[in-house]
Amino acid sequence: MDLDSLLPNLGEWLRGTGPDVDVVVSTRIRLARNLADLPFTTRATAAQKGETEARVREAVSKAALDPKLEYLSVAGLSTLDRQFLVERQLISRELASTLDGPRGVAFDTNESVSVMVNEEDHLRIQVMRSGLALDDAWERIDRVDDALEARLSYAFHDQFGYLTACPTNVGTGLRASVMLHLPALGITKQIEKVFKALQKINLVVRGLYGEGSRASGDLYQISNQVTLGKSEPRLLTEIKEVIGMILQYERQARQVLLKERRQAEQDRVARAIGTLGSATMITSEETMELLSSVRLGIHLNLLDDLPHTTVNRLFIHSQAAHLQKLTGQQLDGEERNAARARYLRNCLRDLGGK
Amino acid sequence: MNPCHFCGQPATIHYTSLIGKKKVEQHLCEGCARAKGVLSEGPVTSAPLNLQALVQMVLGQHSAADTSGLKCPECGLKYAQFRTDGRFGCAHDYDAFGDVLRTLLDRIHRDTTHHGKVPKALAGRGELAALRRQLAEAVDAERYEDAARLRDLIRQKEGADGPG
Repeated sequence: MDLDSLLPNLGEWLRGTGPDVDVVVSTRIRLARNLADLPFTTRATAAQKGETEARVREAVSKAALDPKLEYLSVAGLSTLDRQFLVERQLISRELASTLDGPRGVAFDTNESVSVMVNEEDHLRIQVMRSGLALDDAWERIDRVDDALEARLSYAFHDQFGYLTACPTNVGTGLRASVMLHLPALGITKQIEKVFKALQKINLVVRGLYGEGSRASGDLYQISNQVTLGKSEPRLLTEIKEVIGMILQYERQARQVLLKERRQAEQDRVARAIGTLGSATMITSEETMELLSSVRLGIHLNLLDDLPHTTVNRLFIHSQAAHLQKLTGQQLDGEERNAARARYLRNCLRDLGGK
Repeated sequence: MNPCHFCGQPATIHYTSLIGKKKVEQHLCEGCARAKGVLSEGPVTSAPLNLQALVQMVLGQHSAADTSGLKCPECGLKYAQFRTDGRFGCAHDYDAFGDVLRTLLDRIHRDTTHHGKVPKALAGRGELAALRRQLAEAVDAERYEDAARLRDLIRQKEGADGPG
């Protein structure tokens, strides 16, 4: 597979359409699965990991999967390509760099389904949907899981359900994450309050790139913590209820901003566009923050000539590996910040000149 | 016959306690029951059990379960190592670490029993397991009519699944 061919695409999670897309960027569900007769990845020898990889590859290629998935060995990829896949949310940072030995990922050309092999669990099946689409994502991943299960013998326990390497994933093995853009709750300083309430009901808040990553650009991932004792539909219903509430709070906060400080918001958005379009050096953090303001401006109709998919494109293309692929150069530190600024300037000039 | 928990001889006293949602089964021989103060002097049949001593024994054992020798026979992972790394070595660890694991899972998930999807290939087995769980719950709740009905259903299904 030529990874560079993905470069112009936004991928499913940044498609920018779907329910509640004014607040919800994307929905992701993953299932953790292990093969019954091989040790889990952390205790597997390289040969055993090779065996796992071979079996999953075979199952992926022969299973009746729609869409079709193509397998890519991560062990054989350059650091740049691995980082590129992390930025596109097709693999975890762990699979990219901290794990070793045979491992890989199978995914479709729309980047809506991915199956990581030899991550913490033998299989980490993931389905991405743009916007808030938990039921749709569950229906799809359930089918992918069924198709793979028909060819693989999963570790399953009568009492504990699907067995996983970490006790926090056992049972359903299901983690549903909804990525939310919550700038207005940030501006009105209500975000901490919302998150404290979430922790009390066993939901977890993380930054953009999963566990341990910090929130930037007002993007947050909300996911379930408990995986055992509740059915999959029950887990999804609990998240849906909470997401519904957060959506309401964020929208209310946005209306308050419009009503009470429209001028100041207009100014914030104009300055953000101005900086993005004229900076000669810019870090990825600052880009994320400015793009967050622009995204909010679009949804508040403070900007009318910019489609919100543009924000998604700038968002993904301004990340390190994407930038290096776009420019065809290896970029370090300052060079990267200069290249990012140049890329953003050019894009915004093209848009302004149309 | 279950061996005595303390000395391994055939047990004559059996009791089941519920701690939270967790069921603890214990088996004692007469000698050990007397030594632990569970059974007072006199013939076994007439002497009442010392409930206080019993409860203390179960609770003490529950909180300070000896995990030092716990090890998975398949992958060799020791329980202590698992507690350090937080990761299992293989699917068999879940059975090898049995009771202490249930306590841990209850702490993480506030539950110890899966209620979701079951692989198609095991669907029948999953149903049987579910019925057995319901039976255990019915017995615990002293719903004996339900229990009898469930027991018959389980026998019937076991028969349908072939030998064994």
